[in-house]
Amino acid sequence: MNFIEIIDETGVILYRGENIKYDKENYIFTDILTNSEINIPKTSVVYANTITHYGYENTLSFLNRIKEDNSLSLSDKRELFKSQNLINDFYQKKIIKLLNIKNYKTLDNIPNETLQLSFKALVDVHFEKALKSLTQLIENENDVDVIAEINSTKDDLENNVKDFIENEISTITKDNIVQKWPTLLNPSPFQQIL
Amino acid sequence: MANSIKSFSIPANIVIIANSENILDKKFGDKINNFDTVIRVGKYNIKGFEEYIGNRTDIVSTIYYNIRECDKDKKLILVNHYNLNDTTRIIPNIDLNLNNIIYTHTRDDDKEITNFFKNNLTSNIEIPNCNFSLGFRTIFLVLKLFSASKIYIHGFDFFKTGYYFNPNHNRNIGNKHPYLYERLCVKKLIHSDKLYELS
Repeated sequence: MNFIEIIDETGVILYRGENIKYDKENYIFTDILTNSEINIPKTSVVYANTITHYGYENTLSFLNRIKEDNSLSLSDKRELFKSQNLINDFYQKKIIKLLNIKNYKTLDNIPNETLQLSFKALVDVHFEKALKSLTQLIENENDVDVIAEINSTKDDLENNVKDFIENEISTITKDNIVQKWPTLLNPSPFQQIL
Repeated sequence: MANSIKSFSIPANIVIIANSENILDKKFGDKINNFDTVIRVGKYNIKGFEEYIGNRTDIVSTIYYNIRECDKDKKLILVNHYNLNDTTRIIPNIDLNLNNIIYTHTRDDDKEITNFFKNNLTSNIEIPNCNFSLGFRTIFLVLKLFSASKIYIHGFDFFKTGYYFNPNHNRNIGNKHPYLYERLCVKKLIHSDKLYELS
């Protein structure tokens, strides 16, 4: 079961929901809760999980499962490859926006060093923001156990970010950032704090 | 669905068993089996873990669209992942046609849980698009529904670890649950004697 968005080429969301069953034999998508067929023209859609839910890798894995389906015609599979490229474009645009890189239309034009520096700057911003939130929490707190939990989170965060900057930033390249991006900002516990 | 418990007498004590990996630190199986009511959460798995978590299940609290076949005959608290700020998310209307649902989480509960969360934290936390976890929602609902019972919890660490039956499980950045704040909130509930930890 997956949370899934089905988006057409123009970005319009055709369907958004969970619990979708894929009938390989007949190429039918069904909402298993309502048992109703999701009526999607099979040659013109992008199947994409939402970035805020299961991310890029799951989307690709979903597409790959469909592509391995022997009941699909070659033209259907071509459409799926096109979909994959659209998803890549979609994520690339998101990354460029997130990293606040001006004047670049695709990741292909960005030097790896720029990507790495941009990502480090982004992590630094999030790190400062998270530390500020945690410091504020401690200032308003008088429960010893709660303070200990916040301090432990602070330590985890500092260690994770340090580790990320020392060991992972340098591995980011324009060729792998799309695949890595959903987890790049997960030297958690960023997500718990921001 | 009525906003009250259906066909269920109020137990003197309740234990809610969650699914964190640290549940394997202590063998509380017998202790858990001796509670008046045992509530389990989500995709719990008893088989092979009985000495740690007991073998009784009186109530299952689960996301309503994730009910497993094996739980359909049990008493159910059905929880929903409403996100009040997400107007695009489709929440299907389904008729489960089950007679053993003792409570279904409503949209009003979502407003209440936000207040509950804020009131139990010292700081004034503003978290956009707050999507509370199933575990936290379960604690909130059980406290609300069984206010006369003494309520114990066990196995809640809000994803510091994976599941006891799947240590690799960790919902990372995707789900936006405010785990740290949930953890702090539950600690405060314990310190104010509204909840008790199994020990």
